[in-house]
Amino acid sequence: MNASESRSGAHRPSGKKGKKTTVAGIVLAVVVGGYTLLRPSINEATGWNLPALPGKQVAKDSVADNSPSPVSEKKSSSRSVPKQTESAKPLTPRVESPTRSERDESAQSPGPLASKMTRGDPQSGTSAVSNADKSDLEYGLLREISPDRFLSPAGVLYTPGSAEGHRLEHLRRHTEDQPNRSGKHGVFDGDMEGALVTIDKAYEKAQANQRTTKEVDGKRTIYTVDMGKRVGFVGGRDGQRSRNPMARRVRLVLEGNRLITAFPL
Amino acid sequence: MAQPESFRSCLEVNSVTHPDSNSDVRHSVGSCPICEQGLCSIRACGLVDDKPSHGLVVCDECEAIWLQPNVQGVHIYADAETPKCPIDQSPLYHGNNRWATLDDIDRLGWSDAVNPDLTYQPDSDDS
Repeated sequence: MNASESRSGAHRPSGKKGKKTTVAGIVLAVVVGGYTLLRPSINEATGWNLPALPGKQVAKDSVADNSPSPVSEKKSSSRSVPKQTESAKPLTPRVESPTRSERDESAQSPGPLASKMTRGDPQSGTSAVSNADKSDLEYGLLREISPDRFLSPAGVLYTPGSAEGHRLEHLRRHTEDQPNRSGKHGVFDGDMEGALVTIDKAYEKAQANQRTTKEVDGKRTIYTVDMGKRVGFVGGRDGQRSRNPMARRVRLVLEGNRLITAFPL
Repeated sequence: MAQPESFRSCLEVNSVTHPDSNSDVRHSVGSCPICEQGLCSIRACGLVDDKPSHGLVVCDECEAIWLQPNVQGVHIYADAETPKCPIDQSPLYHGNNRWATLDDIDRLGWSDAVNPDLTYQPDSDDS
C-alpha cells in the first residue's frame, strides 16, 4: 500500500461525517456571509444597530461605518466634488486629511487573512498619529486651507459669510435650541463636532444620491437627506409645541461645495 | 466649546463695528419658502440721517433676498462670502444698514407686510 492509499483509507471511515460537516460548514458560511453583507444595509434601512460578528468586528465596522455605500462608490463620489474655484485647492488637503487616511487605512487593511493574522497593536499606532493630527484640525475635523476657510474630510467648505460673520458661527446656532424663535429650528446632536460629522455624512449621501432630494436654484443647491436615524431634534416654538420631536433628515443649502446653512428636520 | 481662534477675529470685527448685526429684534414678513426654516426679516438699508432709503427682505438661514416684502415674488442671492446689498452694494450685514426697527418699517411703507407672530429677538434665547 502506498502513501496515497493509506491516506484515502484513513479518510474513508469518516467520509459521511466529513460530508455532513462540509455541508454544515457551507451553510454556516453562507449565513454568516449573508448577515455580514446585509447588516450595514439593514442598519441603514431601519435605523437599527445590529451587532457585528465577533472576531472581524473591527475591520467590518470600519467599513460599515465609513461607507453607507460601497467603498468604491464613496471614492467616486468624493472625486466628483463640485468644480467651484475653491475645489481645486481642497483636493490636496482632502487626500492628506488624517480622518480620511485613517478611514482608508481601516477600510483597506483587512485582507483575506486579516482575521488570522496577529499584529502588535495596529490600532494604537494609528490613533496616536490621528490624535496628533487631529489637534491641528478645527473641531477635530476641519482643515484650514487658507485664513478663515475650512474644509471638511468630505469636501464641504466653511467660509466667512452670513449675518454671524462666518458659516461655522451660523452653524453654531443649530447646535442649541432657540425656543423663542418662531417656527421650527433644527438642532443637531453632539455640539459642533456632532453637527460637522453629520453634515459630512449627509453631504456624502447627497453626492451619492442616497435617500436625497435635490433642488437647484441658480447657484444654490438644496439637499434634503434622510439619514436613517436620529441626528438631532426639532426646536423653536413649533418644535416645543410638539415636544421637540427627533429629526432624522438634514437639509443642506450649498453653493458649490460651500455650505450656506444646514439643519436637521 | 471655544471658538476656533482663526475666525474669532472675523466675528469680533462684526460685533465691534456693528453690534446690531445679530442682536436686534427682527421683524419678519414670513417663513422662507426656499429653505423652509428661515425667517424672512426686514433690513433697513441706505441709512441717511438714521433713516432707510430702501429695504430688503433677507432670509436669516439661506440668505435669499427679496426687494419687496413679498416672499412669493422673485428672489436673488448675494455673494456667499461677501454679501452686499443688491441696491447700493454696501456690505449686507455690516454696511450702512441694520435689521429694521418698527420705525424703519413704517418709513419704508412695509408695516402691513410684517407678521408680528414671527418677531424674534436672538438675544432672548441666549442663556
